[in-house]
Amino acid sequence: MQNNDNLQGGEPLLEVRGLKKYFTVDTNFFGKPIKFLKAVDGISFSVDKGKTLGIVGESGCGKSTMGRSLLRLYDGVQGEIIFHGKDINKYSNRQFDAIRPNLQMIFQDPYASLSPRLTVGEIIGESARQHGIVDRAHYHEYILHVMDMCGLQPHYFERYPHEFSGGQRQRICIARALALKPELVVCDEPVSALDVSIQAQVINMLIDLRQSLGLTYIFISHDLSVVKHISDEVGVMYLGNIVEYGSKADIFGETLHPYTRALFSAVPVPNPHVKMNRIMLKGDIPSPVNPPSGCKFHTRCEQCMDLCREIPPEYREVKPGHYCACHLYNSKEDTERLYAEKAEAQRLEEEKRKAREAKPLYKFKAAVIDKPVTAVKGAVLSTIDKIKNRKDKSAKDDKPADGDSGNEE
Amino acid sequence: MSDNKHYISRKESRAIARQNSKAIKHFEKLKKRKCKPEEYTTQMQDDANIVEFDDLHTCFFSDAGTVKAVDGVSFSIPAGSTVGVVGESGCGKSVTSLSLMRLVQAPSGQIVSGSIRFKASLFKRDAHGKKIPVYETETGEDGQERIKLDKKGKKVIKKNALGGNVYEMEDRVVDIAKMPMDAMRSIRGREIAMIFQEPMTSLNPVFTIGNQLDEVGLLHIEGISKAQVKAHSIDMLRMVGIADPEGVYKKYPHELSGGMRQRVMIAIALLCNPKLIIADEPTTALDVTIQAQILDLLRDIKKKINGSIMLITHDLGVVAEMADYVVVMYAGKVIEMGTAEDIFDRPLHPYTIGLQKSKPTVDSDVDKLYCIPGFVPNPIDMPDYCYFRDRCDKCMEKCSGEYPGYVQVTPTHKVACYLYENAKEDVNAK
Repeated sequence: MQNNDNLQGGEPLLEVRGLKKYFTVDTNFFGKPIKFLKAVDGISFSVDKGKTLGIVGESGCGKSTMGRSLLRLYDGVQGEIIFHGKDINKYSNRQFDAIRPNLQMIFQDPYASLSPRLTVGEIIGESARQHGIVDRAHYHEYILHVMDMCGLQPHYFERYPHEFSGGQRQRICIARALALKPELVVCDEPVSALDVSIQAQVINMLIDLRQSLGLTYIFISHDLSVVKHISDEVGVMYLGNIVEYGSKADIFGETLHPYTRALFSAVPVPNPHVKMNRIMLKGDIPSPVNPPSGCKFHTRCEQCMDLCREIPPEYREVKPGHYCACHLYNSKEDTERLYAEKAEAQRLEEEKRKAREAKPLYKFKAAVIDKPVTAVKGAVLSTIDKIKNRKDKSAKDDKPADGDSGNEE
Repeated sequence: MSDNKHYISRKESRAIARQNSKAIKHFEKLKKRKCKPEEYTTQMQDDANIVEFDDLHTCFFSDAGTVKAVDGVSFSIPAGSTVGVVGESGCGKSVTSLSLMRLVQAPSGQIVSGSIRFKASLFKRDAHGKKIPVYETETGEDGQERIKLDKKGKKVIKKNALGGNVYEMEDRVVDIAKMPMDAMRSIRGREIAMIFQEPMTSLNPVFTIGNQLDEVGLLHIEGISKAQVKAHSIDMLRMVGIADPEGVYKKYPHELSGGMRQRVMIAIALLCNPKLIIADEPTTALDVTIQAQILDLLRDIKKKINGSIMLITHDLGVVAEMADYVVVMYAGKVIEMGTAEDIFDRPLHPYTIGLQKSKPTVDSDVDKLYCIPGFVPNPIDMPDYCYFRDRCDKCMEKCSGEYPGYVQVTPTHKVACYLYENAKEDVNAK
């Protein structure tokens, strides 16, 4: 809010390019990671000021990891996160602390994300005081103002979280995020733990606050109807990738990707007369540790082609402002080009492999190790010889003795 | 408790504890008593129903006071149909189903009054209380039928398709609320089966899937051998659409995904061919795509076993898709019930209308969602008037009186609201 003036017209508030977050699953003997869980595997999007980006997908598709990565709640996030024209992923921790109030998060579970030992006033005011949002004289007044904004009564200030219902707790979480006067709020499934009637209250409040405070939301949810209600733009995620991205009207009106279509048809409609022609997806979402080759969705896709099994599709603009990653929208040239590219890549790989094999690896081995080996060998042989000699000697020495003793007997 | 008092004094607390222990003792005694089957045999009001709830009251005797979780619920489940029970969390829909299974968390939770009539097929028992087996017959040399004897001269008991013993059965209507616990065991799992909400917590993590399936079979199908149980379990796993039943049979629950676990839960429920399946929020913990699969499966299975389903959920979409009849609950009471078309096309109670308006849908476009103001009243200290009065936008003077009775608007549609007391004809005309 304070930094509004810095924003030049037309420039998005947040731009993400090639965001990646890999979790290490397995390491080799020396601790070097060899197996990864690709939770977020190269995501790019941008959000304009005052807009809401909705992210939908099944559980395990990486949508929460993406939200947390944006706020640098994880280490080792690759890619660019450009906020106000600066890549905050390259910031040091101290630099990032200065802009942290601008990026806030509302967590999924209001029962787990509030400290049971702090009063509501402390929960909301703690970070505001830490970041010096208000001076000490106006602190109390300010917190009460924020609470009022989020529909919390002033006498809740001294109460503890366990005294509240789920909806009220979620309001406390929202107040905690808004007390820092953020510009961007990442809402990670803020209403999925709430009842239908309470859901409506919280969604309405989020929309009102967006208008009055000029907030920008990244709204992560698995509930398509909620995302449709609140978002301006929608991204559909599948196994760590955005498979379709576009304005709300585009996504819900002219759905392109088969996965999005299946997802939409699976939503039950509260009307007993509608018998939906459902696209049933087979099986479960594959493991992100070992994703399928080619297009990650091809194992469950109805319109799967040979091309899908081999080559991952490109994420590109099919219509203006409407992105999709699917081979169905390839032109003939595209397909040929992809095949050619794959052949080229394979050729390069092959060449590389050959070059690696042709490299005189063992010569090097021989040069360095041969000497010591011969040296050792020589040493060992000579030692064996020595022992042998000694044995022979002693045998010679012993023999007459033996013979003597034998003769004596 | 009044608004400005957030605590209970020591004296009050002691009084509550005294009352609770007295009440709990009384109900626990009833549960353990020995009684003849005639004591809990009743008659169905309508023969087409399989279950009838009649003015059921289930209470929790908590330290803060008595919580009337189910407060006079009456509805029925017709044979071969799906009944959806909808409501917000804490409205008593789960407790209603647990009362039907007699699984309410004792000792604090007890069925206080009312009856649950269930059309059961029970084992016929002789004077000593033993089951009467059906013996295998053969035609003798003289052409007369006689009971087959084995090598030791014992009578051979007839086996059914699964390999279990066949006993003489009788159809009898029982009142589940009055049944003692040991008699309940022959109904639970065999006649009524339950699919629980969270497949993660309801499967035992230290036993294999096969172990947990076999347990049900060995317990309820008498005379079955272990090999036969295993074959049957694997059949059931195949029936619920698990691709590799032999492999899953040997696995532990943590090796399966959420959807697979829910399928296993359904397989366990189906193992004894129950007449009624209670599905308590079967898809709440699942994704939409998996949810669609599971709902499809439930619908298929209902056709296959020709049973009934009691579907408990808070998702109106799921209910619209699955249910033939819908029961809407609020704060422990049924406020509206009717066929699915009644409830979704012509909702009458302000709460039902509000609930439908407050859910955003993919099809419609609204600027602002409707929200029901206020909160559910405190369950310990329920008001005398209509529980929804303080949140209702169509509140009248009459609403401050006693709790409204049911108004039969159409033959299938009932609502508990004063708005429709005199307007039966108008609604019909609509």
